[in-house]
Amino acid sequence: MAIQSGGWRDHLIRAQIARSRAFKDYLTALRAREFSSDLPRELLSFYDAVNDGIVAKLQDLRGDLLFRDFGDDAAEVHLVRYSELYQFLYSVTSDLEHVEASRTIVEFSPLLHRLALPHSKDLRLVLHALPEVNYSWADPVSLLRDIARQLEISVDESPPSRNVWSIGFPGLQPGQTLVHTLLSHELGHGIVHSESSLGSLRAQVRISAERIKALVQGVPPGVPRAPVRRFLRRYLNRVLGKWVDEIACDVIGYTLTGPAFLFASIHFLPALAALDSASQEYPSIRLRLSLLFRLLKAELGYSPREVCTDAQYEQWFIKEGAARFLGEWDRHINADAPPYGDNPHDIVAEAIDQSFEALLQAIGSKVQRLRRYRFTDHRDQVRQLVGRLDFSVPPNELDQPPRAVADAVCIMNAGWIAYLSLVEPLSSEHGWDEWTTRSRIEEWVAKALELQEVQRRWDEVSSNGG
Amino acid sequence: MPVQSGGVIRQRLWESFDQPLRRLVVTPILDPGRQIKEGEASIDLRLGVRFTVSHRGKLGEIDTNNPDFDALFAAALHTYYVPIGSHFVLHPDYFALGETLEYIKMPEDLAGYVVTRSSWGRHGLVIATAVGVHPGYSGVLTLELRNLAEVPLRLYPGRSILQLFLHDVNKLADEQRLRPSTYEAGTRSGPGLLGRDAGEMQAISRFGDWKKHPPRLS
Repeated sequence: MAIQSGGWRDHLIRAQIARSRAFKDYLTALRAREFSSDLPRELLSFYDAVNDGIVAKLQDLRGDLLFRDFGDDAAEVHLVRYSELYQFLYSVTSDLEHVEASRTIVEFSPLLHRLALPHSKDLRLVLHALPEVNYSWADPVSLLRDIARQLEISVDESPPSRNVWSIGFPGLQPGQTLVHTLLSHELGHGIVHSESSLGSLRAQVRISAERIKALVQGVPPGVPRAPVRRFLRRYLNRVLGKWVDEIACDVIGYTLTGPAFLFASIHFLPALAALDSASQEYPSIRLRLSLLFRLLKAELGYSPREVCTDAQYEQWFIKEGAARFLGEWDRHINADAPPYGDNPHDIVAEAIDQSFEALLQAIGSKVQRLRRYRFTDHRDQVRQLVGRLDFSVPPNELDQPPRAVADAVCIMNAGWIAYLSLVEPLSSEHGWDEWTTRSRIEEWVAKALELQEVQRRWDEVSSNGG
Repeated sequence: MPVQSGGVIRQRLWESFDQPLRRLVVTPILDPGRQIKEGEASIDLRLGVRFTVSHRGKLGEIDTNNPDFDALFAAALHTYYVPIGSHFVLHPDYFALGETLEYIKMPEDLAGYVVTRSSWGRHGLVIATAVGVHPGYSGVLTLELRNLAEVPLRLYPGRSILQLFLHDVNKLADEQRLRPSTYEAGTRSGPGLLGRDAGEMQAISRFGDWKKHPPRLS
């Protein structure tokens, strides 16, 4: 009997090769775009090489008569693996569709680099717009290698760097400079991911056995309790792990950018979900904001669990508007908080709430290299920068001493204070409506970030021998 | 009206923080020694990092009397971000909008005008046609870049490219603050907003309509 060539395996391989070739055209089209750095193009070349590798392996499979015509389980597994790897390759590539300079927030790249520098010297960042209202972090090169390793495929091609972080921001809101303070939370994801010792953080939080016991006792009679207890333990630990990661990223975000991070969180998070709604992935917004308030109060020398007055905040936040905003939210988040209930998410929230100081200490000891923003150290600088915004100029430098370059994080903090306090006087001075004034403040802050980086680089380059 | 010397400009920039009405802001001045020379009467300004060009294929002609002109024109523009260290190529006869790196805020008693630094002019680069900077103006300055030479020019953001001269403004004691500019406090360059001259456009378009607007008999 003559051997029949073709068959379903052959069709499958040919279809996959055709898809990979179409993918190559997609990569070529992306490479023709305008990027603000070389990295996206280097990544595209890397993905192209991996794709070529997949096509070569598929061609080998196609030429393997044993597999094609008689079937070979091991080779069939290979086919599935290459297809999976290709799917992932496509997803990381599609991020680079939204990296064009005209659509991204170029002012933030140097700031994020400088914030992450003490942690990682060879870090390379790709900022890309997301089609959704969210922020994201990924390490595309390591992920690709991990997936390839798990699929037992070797990726021989060299990536552009071992340490690439791809950070997404809401693409429809590139001009919302101040809310982009939340990018420091995404840096936190990178740090938690690469700092293997941070994996032990969840051990700092103990879930009360009594609470689990009470929960199990509530199951209807006749339902076996042992499997319910086991399921609950597993579920609570999984939720705890995810939540601790998110809280650790908030702590790192606050550590890097100070009160600006709290202001940005209050502006952004409550728009995403109800205050008390939690999911398996994310703790409730009330818990996150409440913990950030505790960080702020500890920094200002107040009792972390006490609800502060507007007057207390005004001592530190220069302008009445910013102080009133903080006072209102402090009362809303902390004084109006409902008690923890007997449900799994509340049990995890309560455990984190009670162990927060221990968690904080553990995070602090792991990220000592990071530059910590101390509001007290920068109060004078922030005051001057708010004054410049009040004078309708970008706050990229100080008035005293003249021409001293402003700190980028102080610029963000000053920007928030101006945004919350100066809209009315600036609108009346310039004859602008509220919306125009808010946009102008964000533009001045973005311009200041751009200019202070130019000044800083100028000084660095000049001091290295011109 | 006297032109301000380098020394006076320095005073206005760095010694008048407590006098908001007299305070001049030009920021950043990366190299004060080179940008504001003693004995000269101007500040050197640098080229910024954004360049806007039009896609000619998308525009038929520019009817500056069309009320939708601004929106139509803006849709046919593309802005390139060119970080310091990279370059933008301006081809012969090519037109692009650029901007100054510096953000400027003029006090009420000073006005200014900008001119291309002569070294660039000798290579065929013409920068500013709208050279006047009004008292009270704030924002970056938009540059109308055109290469009149026969060879393409590489333009590097951060290079000193034009000079800002400043002079006193005489005004009546009871004169109100001057009207803010259309482009006040902008941090990015952009196309002209001719659509805002709607009243002028309408008046001009009526000129030829003798039926609706018959000439008056004297």
